[in-house]
Amino acid sequence: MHANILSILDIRMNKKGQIQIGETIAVLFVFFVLITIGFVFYVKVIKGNIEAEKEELSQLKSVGVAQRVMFLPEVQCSEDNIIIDNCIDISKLDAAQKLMKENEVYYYDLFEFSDISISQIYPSDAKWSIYSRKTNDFKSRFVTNVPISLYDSTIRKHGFGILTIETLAR
Amino acid sequence: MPNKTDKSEASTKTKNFRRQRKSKEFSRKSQMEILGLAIVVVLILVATIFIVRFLVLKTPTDYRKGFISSELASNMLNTFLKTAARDCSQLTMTELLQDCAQGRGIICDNGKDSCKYAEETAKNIFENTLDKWNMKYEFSAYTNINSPLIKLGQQCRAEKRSKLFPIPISTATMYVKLDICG
Amino acid sequence: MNKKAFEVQFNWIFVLVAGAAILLFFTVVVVKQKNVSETSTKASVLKSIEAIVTGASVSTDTTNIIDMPNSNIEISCGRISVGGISRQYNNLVLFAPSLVKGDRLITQTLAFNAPYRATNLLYMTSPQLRYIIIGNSNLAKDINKTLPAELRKEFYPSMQQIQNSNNYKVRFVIFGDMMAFPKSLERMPDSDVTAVRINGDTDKGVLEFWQKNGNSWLAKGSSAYIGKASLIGAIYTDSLNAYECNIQNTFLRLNLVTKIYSEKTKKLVQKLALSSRQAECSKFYNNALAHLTRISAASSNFNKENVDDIAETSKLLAGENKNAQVYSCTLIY
Repeated sequence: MHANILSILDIRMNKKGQIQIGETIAVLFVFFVLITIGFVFYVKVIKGNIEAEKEELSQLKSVGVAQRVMFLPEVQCSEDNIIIDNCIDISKLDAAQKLMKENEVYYYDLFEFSDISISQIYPSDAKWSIYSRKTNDFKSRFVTNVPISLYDSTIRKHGFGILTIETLAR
Repeated sequence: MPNKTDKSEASTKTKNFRRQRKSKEFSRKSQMEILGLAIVVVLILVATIFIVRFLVLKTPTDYRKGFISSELASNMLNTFLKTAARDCSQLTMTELLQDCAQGRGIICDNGKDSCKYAEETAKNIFENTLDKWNMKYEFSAYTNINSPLIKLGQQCRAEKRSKLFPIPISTATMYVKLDICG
Repeated sequence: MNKKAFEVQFNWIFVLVAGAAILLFFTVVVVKQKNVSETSTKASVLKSIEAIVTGASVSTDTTNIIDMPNSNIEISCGRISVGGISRQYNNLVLFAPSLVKGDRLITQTLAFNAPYRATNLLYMTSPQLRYIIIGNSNLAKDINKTLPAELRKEFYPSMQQIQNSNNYKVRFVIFGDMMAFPKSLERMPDSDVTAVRINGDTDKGVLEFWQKNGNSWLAKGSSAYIGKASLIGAIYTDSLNAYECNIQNTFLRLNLVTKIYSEKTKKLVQKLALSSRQAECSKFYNNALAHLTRISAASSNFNKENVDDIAETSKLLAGENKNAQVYSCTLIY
């Protein structure tokens, strides 16, 4: 009789232990599921941030290229070696066009994948494409237009032009 | 005299009553606990949303817009004022505007006076630039702001980038202003 | 073993395994996160340097102090590295010591004129690096004045007793005779104590590069400079190779810009022929064209002879430009 009761108790205790272990496993499972959900969410947020940073970087690159073009000694106006801001010397442009095509690898370091052109809109229409290196494999494209003074040093007069910089970022 | 059965009945009733009261107390206590937990969960959620919205989710800074808007108004005006007129003895727009504010003595090759010529040139340039890029603007040249000598474009209703350029004339100072909207 | 004892043991093993799993999970997450944030910091430092390099082409004669995360920036010919991340440039002009340490950067830009602006030279260093200028000449004083005040620099008209102030690198700039190696710096690693001996004027001169070798100086070779901007470059760089790499890139740019000025001058000559406006101008332009051709040839390769040639020709070209100005001709540059 006594042994019988003990064996019943033992079976019950055993079942209780199994339930406890099952409970713990369930809790752990839920815990890890929650952690995974949190992690997935975190990764998504981080991915979003990386995309935002990439966008910022592409924009900064575009602004950098625009600045480099505007201050390029190859095309910038100068008067007795004093640099005139926001001015491009037309008499340097034809030579610059040719030179940049011949030394594309050198200028790639400065302008990367971009298309740089200058259009004169007053007093007459004219266009110079000074650098062009494009890629089909780009993720963002920015076009920056900067009004610029076009100085004809042979007649010493300024015209009105637009510097167009199209940058492509992969 | 109450017998034994009555006594036990009474005690059972009291016990039941106590148990019910206890159960009600417990139920109210657990309700309060659940409410407290719910409040904590809501607070944590609000805090998480706040953190995610303002700290984790970054909106990209528009560097280009800042650069373009800061460059555009000033470059546009500086370049325009330096530009030499095609059929007006190669005078610059600054010189034409000075004449415009001082009696309009200059008549250009096409028969137009300095004011008209400067206005037409500005119109031509802005049509090929700002209008083409769908940018709203207001250009004006004045000595007295209430009666401008030249006025092009429309007044900006909200945000604008402005560049004011003073030009000395014999009697006072004239101003050339360009507002680029947005 | 009875069942009860087995149950208790199993429970402990279970707790151990679960605990270890949780600990492992979080350890992996923390380690990964640490690596990610370190890489991101390095990338942001590199991004700042890229911005500085871009800014250098835009602004001349500027000095900037830039705060950034504490890092070790390694600079070699056409390459900037921060930790494992690096950026390669084909024709970078950045005069800097091989290692820039700390959380602050000092940058300076100067225009390289020969005699027209060919490019801007960018210099970069750390405030933790010590510069000791020894000399009494006007050039020594001028160089001391040109170097930014934020630099950890000391100027001595004559040789002094040098104390060790625990800088990670020490650079001596010596005008005149080479000094004896200071005893106080004998314990420093050989590559961290370097010297440049300058012999020349603001236009051109000869540079001697030296490095610590135990308790004496070891000559590492000599080179030349043209103009103050390249002389300052020799002070910032701590090796002959780094200096020559940068100056070679500068010469390459000078060569390209010279070709542009040649074409421009040819155009000016042609336009003059059409209008026959000023006969004098034509003479100046033709002279200038000859000088430009000479500069173009000399700038194709960097060596002492070419440096002398460019220095002399640029003076002549500057003279022609002045003449053009006097006769109201369009200026060459």
